[in-house]
Amino acid sequence: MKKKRIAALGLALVMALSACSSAPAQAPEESTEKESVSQEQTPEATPEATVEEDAVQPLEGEIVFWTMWNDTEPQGEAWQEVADRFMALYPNTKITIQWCGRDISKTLKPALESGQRIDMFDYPTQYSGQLGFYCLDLSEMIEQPFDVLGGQSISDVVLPSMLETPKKQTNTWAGQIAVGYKPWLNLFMYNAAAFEEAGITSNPTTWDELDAACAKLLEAGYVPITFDDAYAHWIAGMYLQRLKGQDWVIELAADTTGEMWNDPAVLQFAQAFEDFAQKGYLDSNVGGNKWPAGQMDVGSGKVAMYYNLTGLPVEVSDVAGPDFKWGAFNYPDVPGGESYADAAPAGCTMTAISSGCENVALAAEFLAFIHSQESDDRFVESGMTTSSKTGSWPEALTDVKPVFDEISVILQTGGGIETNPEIKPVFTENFIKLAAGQISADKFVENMVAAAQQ
Amino acid sequence: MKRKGRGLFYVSFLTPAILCFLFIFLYPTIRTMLMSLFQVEFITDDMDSWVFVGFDNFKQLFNSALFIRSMTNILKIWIVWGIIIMVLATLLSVIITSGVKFKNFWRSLIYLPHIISVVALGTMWTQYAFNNQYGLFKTIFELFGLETMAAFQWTAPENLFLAMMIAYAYGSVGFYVLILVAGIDSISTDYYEAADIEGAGNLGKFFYITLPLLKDIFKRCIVLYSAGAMGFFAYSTLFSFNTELATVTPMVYMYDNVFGRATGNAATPLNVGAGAAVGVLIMIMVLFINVFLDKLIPNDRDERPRKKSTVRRGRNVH
Repeated sequence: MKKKRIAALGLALVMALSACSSAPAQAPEESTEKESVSQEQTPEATPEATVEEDAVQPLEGEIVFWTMWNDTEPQGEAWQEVADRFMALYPNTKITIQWCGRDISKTLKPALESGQRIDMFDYPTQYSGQLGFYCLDLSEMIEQPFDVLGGQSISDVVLPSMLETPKKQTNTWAGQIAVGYKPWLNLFMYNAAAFEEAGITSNPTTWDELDAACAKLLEAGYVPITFDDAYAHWIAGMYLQRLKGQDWVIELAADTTGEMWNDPAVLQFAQAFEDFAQKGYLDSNVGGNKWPAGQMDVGSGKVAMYYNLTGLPVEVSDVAGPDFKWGAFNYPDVPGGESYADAAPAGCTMTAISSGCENVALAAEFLAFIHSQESDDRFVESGMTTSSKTGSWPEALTDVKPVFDEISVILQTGGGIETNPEIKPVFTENFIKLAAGQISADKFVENMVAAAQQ
Repeated sequence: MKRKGRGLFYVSFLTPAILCFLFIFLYPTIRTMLMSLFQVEFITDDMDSWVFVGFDNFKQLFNSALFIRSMTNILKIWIVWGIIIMVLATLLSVIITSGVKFKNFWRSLIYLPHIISVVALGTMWTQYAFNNQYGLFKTIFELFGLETMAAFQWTAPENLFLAMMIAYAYGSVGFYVLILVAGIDSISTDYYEAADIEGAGNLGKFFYITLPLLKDIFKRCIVLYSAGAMGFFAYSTLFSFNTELATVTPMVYMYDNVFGRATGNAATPLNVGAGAAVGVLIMIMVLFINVFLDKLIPNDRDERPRKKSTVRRGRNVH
């Protein structure tokens, strides 16, 4: 019996110890992995890292980079290749990439706060300005020349929006706390071949032109427009933005009296889509499309247009095939509204250098390397849009580039209708029913007024 | 000597469990309850950055139409679909234990959906089974010529809840079938034989023998189902990309408030205090359900014959 008791005690102790080792459930498994990686290589970081690049002294050290990508994604693979090329260029350096995935928006702040070693990171837009304290001001860095950029500076090489958009997304206008890459825009993406067949010669710029284009597409046998439940509020919100401006839409979303929803502008918006639904311009399945069913219809050639991101071609590339040509146009102006030809919702992914980074010179070099022509080409290959002024565009998107270049005013997605998370589900549901022809424009307004008052 | 050994024995087994309970259950619970009375910006913020707001978070919840809708949804899930799933599970388990061939095979088949990852199941349902162009239901209904049924939009907002619950029932009924089958199997066959001699039919046997003797197990199934239903989250997020009225549940609402669900470039404001308040409310609901169930179905250990424990016999023999 005594032996049994000792054995039992031993087992209990083992259980207790194993429970203790796995108890920190909050810290992601990545942290233990990261620790083992950084222990392998002791960083030879020079604490007084001068920002000036010294060609005589070879670059060395380690950078820990937290990214929002997963290593299995094409973009993740591209990143790894870019890091490998950097390490080949500078043999004494090590770039350790932490593949956080989209969860970075939850894990980054606690990690930074707890003092975990992070030198560079993809700044998640969800944090807005909250991480400013942890970021280095890169204003000087983007102006200095780098060898990997052929003597140019980062600000010479990247699109101006790559410096502007991060300021807006982080709500930090003083200083440059992040540099953007992989810019995206919300545009009407369309099947260029379908447009040609239907005899549409120029991109629609007004709602009436869009109406005419849809009629031609219908005749040619295509379904003009579709959308998924996930992005229904984008195509809807943008009409309101075109009609009354983004600030008005934000107020509308926040309205709790129902007064603003009674505005004739809302009725006009509802009637416009009721009209489109009646004419058959909206796919019969919009009532029940679950993402990505709708966008797959575009890729397969059934539907001609979809108001979505410039990243749409990559997402449906499997269904669309290599010969699919894309076109794009900005959300058209609507009757009664101002002209917004140069305004569209836009954003980008951003990289920042941590204020606790010890090897700033190395981080700066890597940041510049990311924006070099070679790296940019590799990113474009994996499906990302280019951040470089001289960057190449995938063949399928050549027609999209001129539209991209025209945009200079950045809006919020959905024209601002997303700003109130309470009203958004009701708005989306009612809009879907309106577009599917189940409720009338008047009923839509009624429902929204009632919902706003709750 | 024996008593000392016993004491050490108890302590060494209890300590890990108590430590786990304190750090993994009690501490977070107390912290969440505190959080619900404050305005907190981010979930890992230090306590000194919290701003005391009293019951404002709770007031905000009850003023939110979305939250109220999530509560009605969860009540439907718990009560209406709880009954449906339990009845279905009972039916299946009675059929399986009524002497059909390949009983083990059927049992495994029915349990299989429960093992498969919820994400995989959810994707199958939304992208294939319910699809309105080439989906499973559409093809089968068309095959039988049921045109109106084939045109039924399963994933439209008004039908989405039904679609989600069908998928949920499919994935969870197996678990309860397993428990109930084990329960029915443990009922001594003497009762059924006696009933046969008395001339009772199948229905009589079911209502007068099976059901009463399964009372304890039913109660446990209901408790398990309630706990699972209160935490209903995965299916909601799979059936809805953004939060939708049809599928919102308190957990989804809490997630949105604590972590945000930004699509595009608009960052919605986080309110971790409100999220914590939702957590507190869920906890109160679960406690209430447990008390309610205890009163509704009291334990009746005395009546139910138990198989004698063989361990005791072993010790006495020594």
